[in-house]
Amino acid sequence: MFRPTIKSIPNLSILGRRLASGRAPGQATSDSTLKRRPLKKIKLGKARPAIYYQFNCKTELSDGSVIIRRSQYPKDELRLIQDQRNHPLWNPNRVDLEVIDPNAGGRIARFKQKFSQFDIEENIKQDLQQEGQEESNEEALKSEKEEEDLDNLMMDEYLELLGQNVQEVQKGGKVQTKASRRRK
Amino acid sequence: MVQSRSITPKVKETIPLESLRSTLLLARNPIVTPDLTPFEKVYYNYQEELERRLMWTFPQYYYFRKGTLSERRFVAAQKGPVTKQPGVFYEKGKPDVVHNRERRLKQEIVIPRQETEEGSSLDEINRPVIPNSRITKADEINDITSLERKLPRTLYLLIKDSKLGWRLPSFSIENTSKGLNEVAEEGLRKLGGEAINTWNVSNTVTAVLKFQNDKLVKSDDSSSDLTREYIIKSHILSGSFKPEDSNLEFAWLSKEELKDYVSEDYFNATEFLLSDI
Amino acid sequence: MFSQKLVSQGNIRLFSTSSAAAGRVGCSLVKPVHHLIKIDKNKLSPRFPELNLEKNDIRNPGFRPVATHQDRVAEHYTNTLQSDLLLMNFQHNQRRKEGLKRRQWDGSSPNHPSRTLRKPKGSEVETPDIKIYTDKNIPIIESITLNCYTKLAKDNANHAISAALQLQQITNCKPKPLHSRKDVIAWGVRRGWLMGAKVELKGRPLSQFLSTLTEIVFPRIREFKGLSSRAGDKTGNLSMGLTHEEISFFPEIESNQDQWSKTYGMHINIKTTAQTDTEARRLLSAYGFPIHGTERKNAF
Repeated sequence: MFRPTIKSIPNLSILGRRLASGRAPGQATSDSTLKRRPLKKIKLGKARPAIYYQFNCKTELSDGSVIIRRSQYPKDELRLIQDQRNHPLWNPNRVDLEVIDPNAGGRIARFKQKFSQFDIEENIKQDLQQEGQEESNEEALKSEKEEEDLDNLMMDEYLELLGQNVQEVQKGGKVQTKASRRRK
Repeated sequence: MVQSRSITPKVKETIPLESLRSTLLLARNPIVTPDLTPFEKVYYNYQEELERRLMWTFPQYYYFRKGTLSERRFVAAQKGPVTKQPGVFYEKGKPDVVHNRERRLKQEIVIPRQETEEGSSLDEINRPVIPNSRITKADEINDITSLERKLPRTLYLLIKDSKLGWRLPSFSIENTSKGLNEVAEEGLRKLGGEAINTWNVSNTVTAVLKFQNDKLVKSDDSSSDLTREYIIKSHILSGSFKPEDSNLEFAWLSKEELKDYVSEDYFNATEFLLSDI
Repeated sequence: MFSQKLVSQGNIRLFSTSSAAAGRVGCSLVKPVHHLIKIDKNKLSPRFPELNLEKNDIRNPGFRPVATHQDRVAEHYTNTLQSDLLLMNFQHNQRRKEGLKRRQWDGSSPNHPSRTLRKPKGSEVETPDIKIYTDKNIPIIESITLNCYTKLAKDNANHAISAALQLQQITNCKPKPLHSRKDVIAWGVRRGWLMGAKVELKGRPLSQFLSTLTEIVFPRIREFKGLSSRAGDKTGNLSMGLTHEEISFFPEIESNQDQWSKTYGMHINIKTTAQTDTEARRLLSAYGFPIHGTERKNAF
């Protein structure tokens, strides 16, 4: 098992080396934009605790309340659009927050959402309903199949509507060939 | 039914139902942080300044890539340290600058403000974040019926009884089919409408007040003609208290204000339930 | 203190061979103290006198100011939660409830007396007693440990450094390195490899992390339901996980997205002084943690 050693990693100070420059002696600097600093060891008993430079970031939540967060990112103001104050899980009493998740339902829900504007869907649906008087088990299978047909039909319709050279993504991989043959 | 199983049989045998009442201690929790005393303010400031002094140098290279526009903007906004020149007398001590940082002092980083064109749609998003006032309109006109007053304090609902004066809302128990907490909740909704959302902390009674002929008596009094008020603790989560009866007087008061409204006995008996903040 | 004791015992502790000839015992009658008392020899050294000062003394190089700003989460606990939790946990006529303990063998085998006791019923290990709820043992969040172990670090140790940096950015605290403990051939991991980082939060960093989590991060997670009712170690410590996608909702990571093309998921272990998980969940829900699902049937 080969694994690059830590020696090749720049800026180790975060995981605690007692080096002021945060860099080991014979270390590659090619990819770093940092200037090479003289190696200086922190003397024994002189180490200071890690207090990172922090900004007091005034954070405005969606309801207008402002909290002060201490953050290392150089920003002193932050405005949030989505947070606890306008999320239905935390505000079950507010009716105006009901979000309709597009992916909440199953395949049919997704389909309806996508193509509800086309009339043809309703026609086919009606047909389906008329046919749906048969045995339950068979019907379930059939309707599933029909749904798929419908899906394909709608897709064709949709592509036509776009009127562009859209190619459908082919599902499934190609049959594997021998590597030696592939090279030819 | 009375809450605790251990009391129920005794109560049933000896005390009539009319002598039991369910009282609601409905609290509105603080909305903003508590006010600081002058000492706390100074102390926090001192500690914060100490921390700023001990903070490591801001790693500019990490947040701003070299040669980018944001880096140039950031560097332009900084006030560079005073460098040491030979033959110059420095009144406030010799500068000790390493890596563009004055090591004797705290580092002060200025964040460049993003300028946007006036009237652009971004202005709405980029307007400065200004904390709202901690003093509301209700505070200014001293509207004691408003829930939006005294934001840093816990407020309690008080109701004026025609006979007994200001007190916590208290409800009589009609039958034994309901718990004390249910009686209190239903009573509150009868008084103040359905547009209120409350949460009972526990079905356990917080405290008991004992009255004899509408006068508070000591908690260890065990006379036979006592009226007991069982206090249920609850919080208001949303909505508001809007009495159906317009003559009903009510108030949301903090602990200190409450002292001026209720009788001295009543305050002494309930003081330990009320929050100082 | 230590040296004085030695001096005072100097007359008794005789080890010279001539003492036996003199009719005295050849060994010390006094038990040697140096086996019993642990001495921090660093403290005895005269080299760093300022390190012997209290940690909160400003002359100590390790001094770190603590109360630098108002802690609204801690104040919420003391002003509102504490009294409520006391009332919620209170029960009339409460008694100490004994936990699951090891049992005696029935004596059907002659080997039973020398065997270790039987396992407790329904548990592999003994569980602590549930003490009476008083104002002295109101549950509180003691600490939160963020544990970020990345599988990717086995191929490239730089990932462990990035994970540490991510923790540092989120919490403003210095993380500790996390090494793999064993050789696991199946995972391709060798003992002692740097695999990630962890950080234990207390005090103000803990408060800020809690509020960030519940106010900013959780509401942005798609289809977020909350903390599972079944998470926990039965003694009031709860844990949950954040995936690498969810990490990018932290404001520090989100504002700096071009630097964080890769983020690392982490485990959050919340240590509370609650006696049971139910109590711990009750405590957390007061901080804005939604809870979902049903509790375990045989919840202890």
